[in-house]
Amino acid sequence: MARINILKKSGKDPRTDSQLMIDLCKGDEDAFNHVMKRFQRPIFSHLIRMLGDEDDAQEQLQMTFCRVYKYRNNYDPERPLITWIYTIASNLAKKEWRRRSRWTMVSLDKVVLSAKQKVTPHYREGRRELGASIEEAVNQLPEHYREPFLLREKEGLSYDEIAEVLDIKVGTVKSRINRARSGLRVLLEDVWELWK
Amino acid sequence: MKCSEAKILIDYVLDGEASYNEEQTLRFHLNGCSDCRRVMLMNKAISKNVKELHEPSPPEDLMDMVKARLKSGNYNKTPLQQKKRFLSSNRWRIAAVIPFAATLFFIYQTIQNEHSGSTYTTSHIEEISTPEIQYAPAPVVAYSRPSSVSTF
Repeated sequence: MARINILKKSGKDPRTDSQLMIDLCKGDEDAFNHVMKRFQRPIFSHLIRMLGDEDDAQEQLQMTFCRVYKYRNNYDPERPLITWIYTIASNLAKKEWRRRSRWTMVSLDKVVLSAKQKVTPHYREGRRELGASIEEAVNQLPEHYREPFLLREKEGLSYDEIAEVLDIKVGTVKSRINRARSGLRVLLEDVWELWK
Repeated sequence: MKCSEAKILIDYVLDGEASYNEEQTLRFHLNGCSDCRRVMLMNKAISKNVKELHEPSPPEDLMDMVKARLKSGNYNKTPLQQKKRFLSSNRWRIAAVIPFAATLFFIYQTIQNEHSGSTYTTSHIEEISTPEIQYAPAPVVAYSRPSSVSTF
């Protein structure tokens, strides 16, 4: 009882994710607000790292929750809600990549930045912290390595859950995470020597 | 154990997906391999720092925006996407090419008519008489095959 009171004071709903979705299917609109509150931060963080653009990430975040609402009846309460929402967000991000591959728009700032990176990488100068260098290195990874790697490291999903989100085999998840890590090790070789 | 195998095991151990035996095997390998120890240390540092990466805050008015979009029924494509999609599609090109081609055709027809002085009607077509072509019969040698008959 005391726990529920604390939860009420903190504004956090005591219902489980599945219960929230069941209530939403029954017509409880407030449950949808709680779903959004619960998952907006990790999903936005994931989308922004996948798309590299805040405006696009915001749009896809809105679309993700619109789809959660629209397809609420398709949700299986026995599966974790987080993987279901990540699957929707991931599919939208992939759609966005496909669209970008047809219609590539590169802002001038990014062009200048990438040119600078090629000539004098920040990490080689040793000016930046390891965290900043890691952020840069992660952004340089190809999307198909970056996504499972971030889902594992940042969001803490298991191999099975990642396989479910990305609709690939567990073995593929393992090898992609392994390649992402070895790619990061190569990219961070110089900064590691300084940081150590 | 080879180093390539150890590097895969390092991932499993860090992700908590390795069995007890695998952990022990890896530990034994790491004792004698400085390269793999370095890989382990780097992976640990990368994992730690990735977990601590800055998490950007979502927009504060997200709920209102989502609800507005749900109300309008436009939740498949955003206005920006619709605009981009239209520009990237061939529809607008086709839409522009068809009237252009029609105009060109019309101009061409007008010029042709001006040159000929009058328009063609069916009476003109009737007047035009095609000359009769006299076909001469081919000589018998051209299609007869006496040699094949003799061999048969």
